[in-house]
Amino acid sequence: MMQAATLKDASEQGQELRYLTAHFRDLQGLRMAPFWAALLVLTILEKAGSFSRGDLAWAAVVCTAAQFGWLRLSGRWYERHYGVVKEPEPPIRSGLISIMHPETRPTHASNRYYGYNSGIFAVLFLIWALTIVPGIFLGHNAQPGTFAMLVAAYQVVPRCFHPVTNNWSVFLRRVLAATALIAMLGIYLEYRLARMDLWVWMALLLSFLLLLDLYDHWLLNHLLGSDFTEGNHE
Amino acid sequence: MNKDQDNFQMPEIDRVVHEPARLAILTVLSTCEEADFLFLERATKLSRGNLSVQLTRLENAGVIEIEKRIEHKRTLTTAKLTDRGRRTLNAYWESMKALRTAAEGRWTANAGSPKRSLPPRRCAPAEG
Repeated sequence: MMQAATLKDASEQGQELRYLTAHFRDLQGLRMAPFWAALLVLTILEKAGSFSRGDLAWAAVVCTAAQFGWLRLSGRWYERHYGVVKEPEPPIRSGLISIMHPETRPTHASNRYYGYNSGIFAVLFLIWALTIVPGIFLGHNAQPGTFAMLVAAYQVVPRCFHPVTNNWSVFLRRVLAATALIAMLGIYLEYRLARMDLWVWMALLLSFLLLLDLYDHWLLNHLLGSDFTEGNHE
Repeated sequence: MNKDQDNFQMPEIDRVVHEPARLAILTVLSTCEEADFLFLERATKLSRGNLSVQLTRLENAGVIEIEKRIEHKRTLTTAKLTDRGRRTLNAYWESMKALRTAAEGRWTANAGSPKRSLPPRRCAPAEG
């Protein structure tokens, strides 16, 4: 039994190491946390009446543009402090995802059209953003909830489906994400049906996103702080 | 205890892989394309000297490849699993799975038999 238990422990530690390596980029919560924090502040200012909707839309655009720069800077910061892990390259890389993660440039010769594809995606993305986003946030028929819900689903849903290990902190990540998703759906329905205040809803949504990203950053540090090779006989 | 369990053969364990520090390194490398020295140091909690020694041993065994390059004005040392390393690691996990199955079967048989006082067999520490 002792041998079986030892082997089980080794297997669980291996699972944690694999999880940490496979989700190294996902756990870099400080990449997105400042963005959610900035949007949360803007939302609170809007609720307090310090901003007009037009000002808010422009401030959100500036924050979004700054976020692209921050993605690169924060990526370098994580590289310097936590190291570099190169993920296995997917067979087809989305240009939009490449723009969102500018430092993960494919190196294989098969991806020589990377720059060309990324450029086309960037132009299409900008056209889409300039056409759709102002209409979502401005005017009488503004529906920012729909846009925010899509962003939340993109950010939160994958965390509910990532495989987990026996580590409680990893499992808690899934629990938090699932809870946040259910809460966001509930709040969204409340907003749609009972006309809950838009900015209160936005503030709650952004708070969930901020909390999840901060938890991810904590989890990264927590997993790196665990002693995986305890008891090795060097 | 039946005759099969008395004739239990310990699966052959690859000692290069079996050492916990090296196994931790290989586990990390099996999940990604490549990882740098800093990440390996932090993930495995090994000291720099120890990690360096273990990486050299793995490289000498042909299990990993180490590459040094300059990136953002600093030297980046990265390690990646070779094809041979991947095969070796898979074979290692297969043998450990067999060992685990055998150990669990042995425990189940012992629990059901009146002779339960067999001392656990100690494994000799791996070299290195």
